[in-house]
Amino acid sequence: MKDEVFLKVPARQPMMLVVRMAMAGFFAQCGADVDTLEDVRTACDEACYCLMHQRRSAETISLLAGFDGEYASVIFEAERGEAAQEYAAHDPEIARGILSMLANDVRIDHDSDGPRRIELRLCPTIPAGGGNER
Amino acid sequence: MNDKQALWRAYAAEPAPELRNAIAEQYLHLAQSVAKRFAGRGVETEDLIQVAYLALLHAIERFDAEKGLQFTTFAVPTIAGEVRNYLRDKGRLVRLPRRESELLARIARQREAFFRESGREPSVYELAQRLEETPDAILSALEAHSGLGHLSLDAEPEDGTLALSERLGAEEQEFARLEREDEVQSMLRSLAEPMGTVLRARYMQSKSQREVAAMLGVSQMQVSRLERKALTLLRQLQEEVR
Repeated sequence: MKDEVFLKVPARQPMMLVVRMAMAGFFAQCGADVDTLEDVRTACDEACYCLMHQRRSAETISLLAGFDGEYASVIFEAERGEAAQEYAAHDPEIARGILSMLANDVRIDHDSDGPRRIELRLCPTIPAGGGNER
Repeated sequence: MNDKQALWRAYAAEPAPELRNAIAEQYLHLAQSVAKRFAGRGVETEDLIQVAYLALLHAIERFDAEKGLQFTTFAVPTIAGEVRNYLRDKGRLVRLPRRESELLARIARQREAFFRESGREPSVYELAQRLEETPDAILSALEAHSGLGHLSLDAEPEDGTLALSERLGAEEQEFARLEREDEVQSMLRSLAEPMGTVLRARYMQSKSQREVAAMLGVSQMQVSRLERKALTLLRQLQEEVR
């Protein structure tokens, strides 16, 4: 049976602490070492920041984390509101570049307003870096 | 053709260090931005930025514009990878348990100082601000501490520093200032339990905080907190009597 955790938070910067702690706790349960937990925290920040800073503002960020015994996956998804952002959208290629060093596999799905869904896959017990990006 | 493109063309024709450095200046903000994403892991941000700058230079030297990639697409994983490797290597030089126990001791001292100043416990954010740490680090240290058993608090660290139990919950000196035992007894009776019991055990029976904690079935930190609150109340009572 696959262990899964679902979390939905308001898309605000202070809430990212909740995301980081929850995912660090989940990956700790999956056997990740301290370095990997730091990578997970950085990856959560990067993925959420990318989704929150696009053409239309995000209202919530949801995460679905799962572990199949070998690989853990986390799917970040933004639910957007109608309001347009005042600042320039975050370049998803920069997010992809950073995430590719922190996860074994990175997938970023776009719609007309930019990245909407980011999926990361990593083996908690083997350091990531130089993984595949889709 | 803009400045960047002109520099890249010139560098492709003649890969001179001066041209490489001139290109690097165009992307310093990128290196800094990547480095800052890895801040708060026990290494100075300035050190990470220096590593990122060096990684940027490496990326420039290795970049092949003929492959059709944008330089930033190539450079960002290169810089992130080198910063991350630096963190992993540097992190092994400082044993994590020692870092966490030092942070726990600093948290304990700051909690006490904050309580003395404001009469209440600090929030995680207030602690983080005072200690110049991230809220994550504070929460992680507190989480690690809550996982420690009573025996672990007493364990001697390998580096010969004081056991955690000796560093958490400071001894209070102010009780010695109270003048007469009968006055003291009267004031102790006015304290809500278990504060009165704590002060009697600590200062009349000379029990350690650890012994009082075992007696009451609570943690040493709770005894320290009760002691602190009780002394604050006694101080206020003394002021009222005068």
